[in-house]
Amino acid sequence: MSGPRRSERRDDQLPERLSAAFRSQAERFEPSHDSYARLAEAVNRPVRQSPALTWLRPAIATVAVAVAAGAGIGTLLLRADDVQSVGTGPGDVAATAPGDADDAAVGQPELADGADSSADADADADAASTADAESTADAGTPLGGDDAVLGPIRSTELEAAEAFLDLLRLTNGRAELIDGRVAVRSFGEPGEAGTDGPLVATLTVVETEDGFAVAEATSDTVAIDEATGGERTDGTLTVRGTGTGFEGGLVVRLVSALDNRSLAPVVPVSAGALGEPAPFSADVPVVGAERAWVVVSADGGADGVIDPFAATPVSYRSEADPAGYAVVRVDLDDVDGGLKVRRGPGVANEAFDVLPPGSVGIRRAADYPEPVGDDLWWSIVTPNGEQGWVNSRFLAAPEPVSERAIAEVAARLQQTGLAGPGPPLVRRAPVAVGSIAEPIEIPARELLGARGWTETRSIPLPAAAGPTEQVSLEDFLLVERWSTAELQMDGSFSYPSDEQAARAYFAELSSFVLVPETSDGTDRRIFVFLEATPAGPEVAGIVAEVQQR
Amino acid sequence: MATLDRNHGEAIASTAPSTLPALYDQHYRSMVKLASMYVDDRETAEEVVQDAFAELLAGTYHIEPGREAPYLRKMVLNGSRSLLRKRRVRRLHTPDDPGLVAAAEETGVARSERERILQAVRRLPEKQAAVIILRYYLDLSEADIAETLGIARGSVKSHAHRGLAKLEKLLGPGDREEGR
Repeated sequence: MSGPRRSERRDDQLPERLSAAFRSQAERFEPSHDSYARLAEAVNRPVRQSPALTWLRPAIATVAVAVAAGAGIGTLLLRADDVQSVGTGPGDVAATAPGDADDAAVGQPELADGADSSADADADADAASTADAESTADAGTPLGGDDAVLGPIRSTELEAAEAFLDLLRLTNGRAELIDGRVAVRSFGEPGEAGTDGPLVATLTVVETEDGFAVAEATSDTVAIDEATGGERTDGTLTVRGTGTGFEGGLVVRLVSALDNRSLAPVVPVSAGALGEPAPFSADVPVVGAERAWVVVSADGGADGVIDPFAATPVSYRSEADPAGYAVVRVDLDDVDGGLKVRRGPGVANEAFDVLPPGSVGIRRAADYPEPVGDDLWWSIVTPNGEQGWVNSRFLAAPEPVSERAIAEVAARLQQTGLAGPGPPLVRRAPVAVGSIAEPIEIPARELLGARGWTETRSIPLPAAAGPTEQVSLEDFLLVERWSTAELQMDGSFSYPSDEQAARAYFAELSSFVLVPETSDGTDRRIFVFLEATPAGPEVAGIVAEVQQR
Repeated sequence: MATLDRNHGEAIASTAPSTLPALYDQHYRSMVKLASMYVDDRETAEEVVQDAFAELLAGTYHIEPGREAPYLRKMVLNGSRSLLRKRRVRRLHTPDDPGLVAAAEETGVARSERERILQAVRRLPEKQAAVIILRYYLDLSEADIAETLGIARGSVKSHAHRGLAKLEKLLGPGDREEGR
């Protein structure tokens, strides 16, 4: 299974790649609908002023008072060479004790099902460490089994802070190390280089065996007193605290500690007006089992300035009944506000609705997804009862597959003649990484009888494999069969090897079903249906279909 | 007579009056896209462009009617770069930032390739990055690049050469596998 698998890029390909990348980037940017009005305003304005400043000024005053009173971190020193870019977020976090950090070599969400916990834990750890090496987005540092959740582990405090802020998508601020804590300041007014904005949070950084990690984020204007976690929930995570926000409003976000996915819709809450902290309470709907960060901030807006924020780690396992599929892998600040629902499969069809990140209760309306280009599109019914189409990449099963469901699938496969005497086509599989570390053998005959499912990615079968030969999952997923490009999904930047890329990739894709494209034996391709579940690596797909019947 | 950039419909020479509506119609959109080579959110890109327009219309420099494009390009490049430097924005892995069109439906492969390249270009020295962008995004001639950046044509060549060489190093061999 070795041998050359990449073509050598010729030098003359670079200009073409550059042009393509530039065009692709440019195509993403269109002026805002009110751009002319804003331009006219900017042109007529003698001195530019950030729209954020109008509401930030009270916050600045609040923080200034707090700093003057010696609250928090005391003296704030700024060194230009320590300035780091960071993002917004509010927060006070439930601190993770330094002692808990021993097991924090890598961050991983807790798996929902204990059955494969050991294998999964190893696999997750591998994946996380891989992701850690290269990706700031994969910042979550999974813990080795206890409830501790830390930010991404890095070699220095500032790097850990930076990775943490990246994880929370707080990208427009400065961080500075002071006595083991990191002060986070928003940027100053645009155009005034060198000016410093207000202190928006203080990060507590702990040292682990493998480096430094953020354990909590606190601020002077927002505090999280309680975030129910580390236990089973009924599908709701309750967040309580006190705070002040612009016009008395705060927003509560839930961000995956593993990969910065939004795990729930943004929940706005009422709190005190600026300078007058008042209690707030939010019920955040959750599905699956996750380790995450609860982030509370004055505003979730993306106006280029960090808002005061608090963040606290939680782990939870939702016991809620499955409520259909969930929207995952869509950024909280996605320009469209979520996952577009279209009239038909593919982006060429009109979008008529948007499912916010973390939306649940989405039902599939078809047995099989529709392949369009490189993607699969599911016909779905939204929580509002409307039928439409969404890209399968952003749908996830809300709960792990039960043994009963797997048995149902096996039985169904027997009935349809698709299943051979071997193990069922669908089985519980600790795929995340275990798909590679612990290959699951699937008889080729089982893979060659069905038709339908489709795929995003496909791999030629080994030429020698006959219909009855065993094709191991290891063969199937053999790293060398995947191009690095294919594995560089979803912003993964680069990896030192294909294997690591594969591991990281499958760490994100928590479930899969293997199916053949056609029943005709001449087509020697197997197709993989991949989808992510918030609960961790589990088989879904066909199983979900059976559950609906 | 007006001529158009080959791919981007930007008027680079015309008799356009220097009124705001005309300038907006002719240049705003293309300048936002140009700014996007450096910044990853629309809000910031538009702020940079608005600043450039404001400077242009402030009349600090005498720009001949119809010759606004090179000036705007330079201002946008400088403004974007300055902002990038100031903020030290690290967005290697922020696929969908606010205000962007593609949003969630873009394939990961395309996104990854684009981000790799953009990050690599942004790491280049200022002039090299500007030359690469003007050449391979706007498809400008050496003469136009030289005018935009206020440098000699020979410098354009050397910046391009060095920029490409460094990009080769940063990006490594292509990731595409044949036969797919």
